[in-house]
Amino acid sequence: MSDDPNPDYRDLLRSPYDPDPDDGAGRSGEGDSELPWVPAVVAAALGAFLVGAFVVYAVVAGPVEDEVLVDESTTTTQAVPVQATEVPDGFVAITDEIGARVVSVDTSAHAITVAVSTAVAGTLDPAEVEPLHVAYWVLDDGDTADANPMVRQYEIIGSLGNVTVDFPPQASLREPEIIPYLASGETTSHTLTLELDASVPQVLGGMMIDFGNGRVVVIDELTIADGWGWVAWSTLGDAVAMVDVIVTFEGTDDPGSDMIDPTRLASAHLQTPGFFGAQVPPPLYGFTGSASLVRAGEPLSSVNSPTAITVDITATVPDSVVQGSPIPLPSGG
Amino acid sequence: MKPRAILLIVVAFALGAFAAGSIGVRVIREVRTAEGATSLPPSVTTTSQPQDPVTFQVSPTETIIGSAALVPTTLDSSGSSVAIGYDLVTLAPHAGVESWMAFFVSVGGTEIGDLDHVYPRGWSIDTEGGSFPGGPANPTTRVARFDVEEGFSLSDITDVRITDAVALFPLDVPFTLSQDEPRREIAEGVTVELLNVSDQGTSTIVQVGVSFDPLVFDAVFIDGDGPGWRSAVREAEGRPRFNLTWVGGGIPADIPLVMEAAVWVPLSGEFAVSLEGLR
Repeated sequence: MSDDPNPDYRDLLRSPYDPDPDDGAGRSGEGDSELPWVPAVVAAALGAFLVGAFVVYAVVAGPVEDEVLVDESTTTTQAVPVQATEVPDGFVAITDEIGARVVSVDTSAHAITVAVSTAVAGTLDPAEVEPLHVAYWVLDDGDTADANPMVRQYEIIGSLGNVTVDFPPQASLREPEIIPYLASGETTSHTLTLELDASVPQVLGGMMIDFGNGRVVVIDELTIADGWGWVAWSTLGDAVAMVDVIVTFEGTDDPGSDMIDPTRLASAHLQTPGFFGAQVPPPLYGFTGSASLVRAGEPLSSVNSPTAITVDITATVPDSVVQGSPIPLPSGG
Repeated sequence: MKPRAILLIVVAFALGAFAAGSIGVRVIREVRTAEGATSLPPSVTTTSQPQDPVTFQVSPTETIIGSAALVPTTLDSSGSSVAIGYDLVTLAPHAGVESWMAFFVSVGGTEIGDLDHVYPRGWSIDTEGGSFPGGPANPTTRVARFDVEEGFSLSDITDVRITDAVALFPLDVPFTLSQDEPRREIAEGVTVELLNVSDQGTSTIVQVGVSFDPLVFDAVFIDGDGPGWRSAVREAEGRPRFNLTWVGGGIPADIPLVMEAAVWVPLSGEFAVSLEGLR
């Protein structure tokens, strides 16, 4: 050994399987027992345990913020927000359940008339989904200052999912789109009852129903005649409402019809609910409205005269309104 | 401890950690993927998920037209005629809608929308040799018929398209008529005419005639606009004429009226129809 000038280097270069020069023995079975198998197994178990503990923690705690999980089994990245579910051709998702699209735009002297169709999204059952309750629509050309609220919206019986919206005829159609403002949540209804004498005709006006927060429904005109009537109303504070009026001629007789209340003077949709021939659907929300009142009872006469007249004016407003997704008008619209 | 012992311990620790880590990463991915399938916000969709069939989706071969789905049901050929039968199923949300509002009819205890307000009126059968136009006779028909050449085989059909579809929408138009202007076109395809104005006691009877293109309008009703009118009555037979009763005193020179109509609105584009399973 003494002739080796670099014993340390030799020691470093020695294979673990070389005999240990210090013990004077060659490789033997006894030498295997010197390998640290037990500590190695313990170390492997410890490593597995530590990593396993981290896995359990990761599963329970979920991904950390900003962590993006990509499912490599599909080309679809789940984190990309698109519309709620698949909606039929050309529809814009308005809610998680309903899509809408503008079918046509017609400009005339009295209005810009927009036809809107709605359909349920994806595989939803349309019988399980309520129709859109739109408080109002706005025709927007991209400039908020030029946004034009609707004049009115209306439906027709039997044409499910279709609504017509009239906008002011002078509204701009540059970069056009319409925006639905949805009546969400609950509604509030108030009924104003008037007790009047039995004389006809009577013309009333100026009655108000205050819903608070500046939301007021004003009955601008209510005409009550023996066989007809008329109501016109408007709102203050950008409120929208649905208004129904029922005039009851107290003490008049019943001609025997059980389908129509003969004592009532009311909108046709209230006179004939459930009657298949009825042509007037209930009103939708509006900033203003009007309605003819009709009556089906016996004509008023000396033998069939009311003892008093009761008027029930019921107004309904949405408690909250949320802006929906814009719907583009068809090109050339 | 010997250096080789330390090295062996280190290697063993790394191997154990690596093995557990490999299994763990897979577990994390599977767990989070499963969670993502049910807890994504409503605005997120995954196209890889199969969707359960529901009642309204009556066929995977349906064609969406407006707010309805058209589903071919039959395909027949005889001589020089081809007929394609179909159903229309509403996609319009209608929970809570009164059945009389929707013109629903009850079939076998199930309410089904009577979808006469969707009208696929123009069709085309395409073959290598040319196209054959056709369609249903009216909105209530559920058969599109085509005249084809003798020897035509259903196997010749390469495509079926709906080239002209319309849907029914309401259209209200206020207007006035007067003795000076008794006739007006108040909307494209609709002309009204003041036929007669006559006093009757304290009332004034106003008679208005209407002519309209039935390809554009399904129904037209004329009513008084504003206070002073009793309900209008349409004459039972003949040309559409309406009798209105004015009870508001002296009748205005410009008589205020309103048209309440149902108009056929064209749906833009063409609609491919699948005959899968019918031939």
